[in-house]
Amino acid sequence: MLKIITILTIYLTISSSSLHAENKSIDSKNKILLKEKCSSCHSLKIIYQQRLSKSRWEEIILSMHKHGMTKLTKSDYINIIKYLSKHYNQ
Amino acid sequence: MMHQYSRRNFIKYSSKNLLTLGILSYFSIPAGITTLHAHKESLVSDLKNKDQLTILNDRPINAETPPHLLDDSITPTSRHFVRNNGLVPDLNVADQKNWTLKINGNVNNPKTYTIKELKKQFEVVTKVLQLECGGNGRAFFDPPATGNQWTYGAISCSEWTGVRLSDVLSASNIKSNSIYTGHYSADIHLSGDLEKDVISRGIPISKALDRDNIIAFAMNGSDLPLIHGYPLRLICPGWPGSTSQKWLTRIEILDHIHDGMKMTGKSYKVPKKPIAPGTILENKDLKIIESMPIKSLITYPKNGKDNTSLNMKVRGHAWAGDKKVSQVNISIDYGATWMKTSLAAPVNSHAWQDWNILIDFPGEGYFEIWARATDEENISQPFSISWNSKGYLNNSVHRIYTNIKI
Ligand code: HEC
Repeated sequence: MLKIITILTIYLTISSSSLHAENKSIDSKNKILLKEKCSSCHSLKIIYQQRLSKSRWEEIILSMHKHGMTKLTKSDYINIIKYLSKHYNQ
Repeated sequence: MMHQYSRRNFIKYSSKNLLTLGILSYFSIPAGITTLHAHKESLVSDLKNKDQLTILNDRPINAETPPHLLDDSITPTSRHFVRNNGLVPDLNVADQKNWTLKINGNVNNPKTYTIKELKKQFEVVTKVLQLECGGNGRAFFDPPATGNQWTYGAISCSEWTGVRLSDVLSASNIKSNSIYTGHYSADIHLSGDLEKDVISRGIPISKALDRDNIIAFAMNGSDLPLIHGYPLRLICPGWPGSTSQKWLTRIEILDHIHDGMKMTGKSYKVPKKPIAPGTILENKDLKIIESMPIKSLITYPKNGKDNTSLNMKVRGHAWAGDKKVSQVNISIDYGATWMKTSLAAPVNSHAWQDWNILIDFPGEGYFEIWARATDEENISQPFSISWNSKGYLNNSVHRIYTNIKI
């Protein structure tokens, strides 16, 4: 029984830490994506100053197309929104 | 369109910069600033001069002045806030000679002037004029409002020298059905698209004919710094700073409300009817901001400064857009009781007014000092924010704190 618990604990520890690592790498990938897509016209400081709900971030990004931003692919759009609403949420 | 011609013309000087658009050149001065045009000495020295300001954004450059640095009656150039919607154009000294201002549109007598001609043909005047960004105080909105998070310091009152806008417009003989102006300039859109105006705002003709509006070529006795619109800019005191176009190239007279960049969307507009905080309105339910509201600032002491005596000198400025300030009151008990300050007259119309008071504190302790101004129509500063989604017109009372420890 003890053995099972030990194995389970080890398994859980490994899986959760790798999950954590994976999350972290997704997060840093999204950060790079943000920098790539959102810092050609203005610096990221205008973005980091904001604290917005997810729906207002969506509005902001859509409005950047009006200013001449190349249309984001669906997955880039989703990932940028994910990053912004995680770190710069209202 | 004429204004595009003039911008292309000037672009000759800056094509090298445009090639590098998108590539930041990092400069070590001052902290927080990076600029595309950092190699341009004039801009670099303008920025160096601003090293006490709080940088909100470095591209485009936006910076505000902490309240205690706004203590002077006339704001020194080094302490004047910086608001840019686009990129500072890349100009050299020659541009002052070659620069032209066009007056056209709904006029009988369209004109083009060099700066020398403006100086020769019109009376040159010097005035002390308050200028405030429409978004000053945005940082305190809840829910948050988008844009640069200005706290208190997007306000100034410097001395501007130039010719009266009203004189220049009269010389062009405006047609009687004119209702608005449209202002155009040489700054560059953030996208680098030369066809796009960065910002092109206007004002009703009734405001444009006010004799305090200045087409300025000097600030505090020197040529305009590049960052403040060199070689020519408008000053429309008392209205959102965005109407005071920098790097001014053309004023068009219109028989309709101007439809330039940042006139037709949600920018520089507030709700027509009161709304619950968080409500997002359609454009048709918004109105253009005109005169800025009554407001005041405590510029001495600095927020948080301890005091070792029961007496304390407190001072600051108050302003009211196109109106005059009639009184400024101070409270040290969260608004329960108020003391009247001694308020100076403005040095000229549209200048802010200095006020001061010697406060006797009842004893030691933690105190908040609140300043509340009232305009000549008996309208006072509110205690909280009338919310709007873009974060404009926060004129709620300024509060600082002090610890009295004898
Ligand atoms: C093609 C140029 C361009 C690109 C690319 C761009 N922006 Fe912008 N952005 C602008 C302009 C122009 C403004 C100024 C808008 C204004 O002042 O109303 C702006 C302003 C903003 C603001 C401030 C909004 C406000 O209300 O003042 C935010 C936040 C912002 N952008 C976020 C982003 C994000 C996130 C991205 C990437 C997905 C992005 N931008 C990409 C041109 C661009």
